[in-house]
Amino acid sequence: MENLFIAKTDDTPEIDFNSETKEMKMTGRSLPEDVTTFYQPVLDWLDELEATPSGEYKCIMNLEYFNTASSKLILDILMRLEDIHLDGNTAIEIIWNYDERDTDMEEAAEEYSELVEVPFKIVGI
Amino acid sequence: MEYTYKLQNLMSKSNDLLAIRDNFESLLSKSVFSIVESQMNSNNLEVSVKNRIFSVVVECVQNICSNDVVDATSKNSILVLNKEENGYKIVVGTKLNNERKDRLSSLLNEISSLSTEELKLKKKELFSSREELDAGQKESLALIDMFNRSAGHIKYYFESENSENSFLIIEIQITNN
Amino acid sequence: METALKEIHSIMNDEHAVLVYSGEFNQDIVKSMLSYTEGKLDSSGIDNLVKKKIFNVMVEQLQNITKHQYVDGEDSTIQPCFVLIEEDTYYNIVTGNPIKIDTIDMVSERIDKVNSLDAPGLKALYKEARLNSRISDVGGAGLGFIDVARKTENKLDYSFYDINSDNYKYFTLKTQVNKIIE
Repeated sequence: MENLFIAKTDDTPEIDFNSETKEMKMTGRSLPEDVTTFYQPVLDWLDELEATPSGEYKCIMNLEYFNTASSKLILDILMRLEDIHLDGNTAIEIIWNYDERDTDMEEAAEEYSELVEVPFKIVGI
Repeated sequence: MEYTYKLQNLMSKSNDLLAIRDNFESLLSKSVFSIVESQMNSNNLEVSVKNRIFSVVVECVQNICSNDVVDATSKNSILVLNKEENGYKIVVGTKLNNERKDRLSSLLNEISSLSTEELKLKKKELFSSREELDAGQKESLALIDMFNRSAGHIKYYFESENSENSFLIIEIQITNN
Repeated sequence: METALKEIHSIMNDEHAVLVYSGEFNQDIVKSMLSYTEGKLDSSGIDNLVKKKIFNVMVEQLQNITKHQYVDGEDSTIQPCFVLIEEDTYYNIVTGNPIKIDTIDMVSERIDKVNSLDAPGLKALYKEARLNSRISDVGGAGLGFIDVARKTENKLDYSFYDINSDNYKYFTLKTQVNKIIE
């Protein structure tokens, strides 16, 4: 698997998918108007991963904010991870970190964990 | 320049801090967000309250305010930030054509009548589609988010401008915990 | 308190105002007004030179009202404000702030003098003011008016309004920056 790195901007998160550490990290905030264009490389990378048995991968979410357009894409990402996990070739674990003062984010993480069948840890920091 | 003094008077009496009247296309939206953010940072607000205000502004600007720009001089939307005793009020106003008015009117009526549980279900329904969301679905998701963030404290009304256009005003209240 | 959205919108429509801020001013708020205007200018493809002018003028006016926003022992609803107006061929930067009645004559004199001069005249006045470095009650306001007039190459428009106060009036200053430099 190749690495995927997209630097953070004011309205898009840092994407750091590393095939050595086997970690997929998304950090920052997501509010682009055109979510499809931004997240396409992420979805493409996940398609690659689905075709490449890779042992174990961790998906670490450190998102402080995302708009509703992003929320749909984030679910798409999580569902791809679910497909990968259920296929059995690569084990996925999702770790969702959030600011413990942000109850809305905690709730959002919980909602996502109910929608996908993947080991899902929600951590208040 | 009397309007300057008039505006200052009006706004300070009703605790309106900021009024932006424009067509909120992409580049401008970012600037709007950064102004709102710095307003929030100037006040000691809780993280969750700040995020709620910010997210309501984002959803209003990106999904409610009209995106069609007729020409550079006509401005179709307005956003007002109002400071209350125990929180903030975000007021958004936007020009709508008849098609959008009908759609938003029925969406608002529907969503405002749903309970928290029913809102969750409706959101799940929208999420379950693997397709890209259409305009109406994006608006639905945005409105559901706004209702959740404000715990339902939303008022809205439509005003007819002429046979082709209306104006929609939505007031969203975010209170401190 | 109810918002005055309708009336605000109506006035903004009439005056072609795109932004109005009424409240406390500090460094962060000034920065955010500047970055807002930057975003606006970028999205209308304005020439960099014009952008710089608008910025300089805004900084001057906004820093001025930041300095003069506090009134001693008076009604706190007399607040400074900033209005950005967009027309087809120019922007107007309008600021309002409370001003001590006993400084009104001096301020008027200064602006009238600036308005009466042409470019070479302003250059000379600027040099003179710099050399004299007069520090007065209103701080560096003298240089500021000259600077703004030179940059915008337009007249400064100003007014004083009565407010319910024995010691203060409301001072509004309007500058114009053309979108295209000839």
